[in-house]
Amino acid sequence: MGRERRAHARYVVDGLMVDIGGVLHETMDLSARAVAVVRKAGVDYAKPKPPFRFVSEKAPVLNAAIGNMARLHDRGPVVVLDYLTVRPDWEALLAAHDVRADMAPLEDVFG
Amino acid sequence: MNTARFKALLETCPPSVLFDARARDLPAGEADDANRTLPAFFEHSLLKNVVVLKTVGRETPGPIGAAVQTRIYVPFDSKRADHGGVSMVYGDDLQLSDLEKFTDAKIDPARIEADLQKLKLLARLPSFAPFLMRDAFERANLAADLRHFKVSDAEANAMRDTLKAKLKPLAAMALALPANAVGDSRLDMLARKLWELDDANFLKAFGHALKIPEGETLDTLYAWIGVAFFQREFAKRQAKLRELAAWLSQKREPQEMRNEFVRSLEADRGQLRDALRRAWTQAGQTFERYNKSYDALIADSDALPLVEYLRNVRGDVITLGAQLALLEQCLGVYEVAARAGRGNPEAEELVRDLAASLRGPESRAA
Repeated sequence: MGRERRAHARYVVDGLMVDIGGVLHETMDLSARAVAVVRKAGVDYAKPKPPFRFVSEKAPVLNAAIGNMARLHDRGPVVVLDYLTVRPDWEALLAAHDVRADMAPLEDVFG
Repeated sequence: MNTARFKALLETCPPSVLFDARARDLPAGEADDANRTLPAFFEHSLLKNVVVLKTVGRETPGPIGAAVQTRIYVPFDSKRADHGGVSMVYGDDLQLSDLEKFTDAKIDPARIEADLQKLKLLARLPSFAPFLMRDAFERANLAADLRHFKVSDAEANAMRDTLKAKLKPLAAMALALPANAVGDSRLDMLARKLWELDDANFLKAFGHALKIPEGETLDTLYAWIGVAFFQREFAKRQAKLRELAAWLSQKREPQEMRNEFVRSLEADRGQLRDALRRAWTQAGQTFERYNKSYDALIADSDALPLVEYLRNVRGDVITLGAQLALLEQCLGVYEVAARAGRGNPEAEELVRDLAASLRGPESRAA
C-alpha cells in the first residue's frame, strides 16, 4: 500500500485538516487515496476511530466526509493513512487547491 | 535614460520600477478632514520631491540580469517631475557624503539617518513591487508610511497567505529536525517561522539540514520566497507582453525599408524584441528549475533538488528583479508609444532610447 501511495499524485493543501475521531490533524500532503498527517498524542492510529472528515476553514468546498481510514505506515512524527471519499471530483479539487496551482510555466509569447 | 522615456515611465508609473516618493493628495476613500495629503516618503527636505527608479541599462558589462540600477531622481520643479531634474545611480553602500555631493549641500547626519536607511533598503530590493516593498520595510522594522506602497491590507494579506502556504512542504521537512531546534511540531507554526525568519536557533538547524552555508539561511529562504512572488508577477504580465511582442514584430512595407532611418529604427525594435525574449525565456527557465525542485519535494519527498536549487536562489531573485524591471520599462514605453500611433516621432524616440540603453554606454556616446 505504501507503494500505491507513491504511485498517486501528491498534493499539498494549505489549511486542510483531517478530523479523526474528534481530533483535528494537520495534513502534510495527500493523494486521492492516502493522507500524511502530523501525529497527535492519544490517538490509536492502528485502529483509528470514526468519525473521519476533511476540514478546511480556508476552502469550505474541501469539507468532506471520509468513508474509512486505515494506517499505512509511520514516518517519525507523521502517520500515513489510507482513506476513501465518496466525492468523484475529489482529486480535481485537491489539484485546484494545491500550493502549486498557480505555478503554470510561462508561455512563449514571442512565437 | 532620456526625458521622453522618463516621462513615459512617470505617465504609466509601472509600480515595480518607479517609486514616486513625493507627497500627494489622498484618494477620496482614504482621505478625511484631518488628512487630505499623504506626506512625502522621505523626511529630509532635500529628499521630499524624490522619485526612485529601477532602471535597466548597460552601465556595466555582463548579462542583462546584472544590469539593474537604483536611481534617485530629483525634479527641478516638484509639481512637474517630467520637466527635467538631476539623478544619481546608487547602491546599498550609499554614504552621507554621496548624498552631500549629489545635493551639493551639507547635511546633518542625525536628520538624514532614517532616510539613508530607507534608501539603502530600496537599493537592496530587486524590484519596487508594492507588496515586496511593504514586506521589506516591515521585516526591516523601518518606520515608513505604508500608504506609499499602494497595496491594500487585504491584498497584502492575501499575497502573504499564498506565499506562506508555499512554505508548507519545507515546514514538513523541519518536522524531522531535532525537537529542541524546531520548538514546535505544528506545521502551521513551522511555516510561520519560515515566513517570519526570526528564530535564529530554528534557522540554524534548518539551514544546516538544507546545506545552506552558515549565516546565509535567512537571505536564502527569503530569496526562495521572492522567486515564488516573482513567478506570480511574471504570469500577470504575460498577456500584455504578448501584445508588446506582436507590436514589436509588425513589419514595415518594403518601400519604407529603403529609408535608412526606418531601417535603423527597425533594427532597434528588433533588438528590443530580442532582449525581451531573452529575459522572458531565462525567467521561464528559472521558474522551471524552481518548480522541478519543489515538485520533487512534494511528489517524491526528495529534498536534494531543492538543496541544489537553493545554492543559486539569491542570484535568481536579483536576476528576476532585473528581468521584471526590463519588462516593466518596455511595457510602459509600449503603452505610451502604441497610444501615440505608428510613425509618431516621440514613440520612435522612446524605442530608440530604450534600445540604446541596452546596447551600453559606448553606443550612446557614439
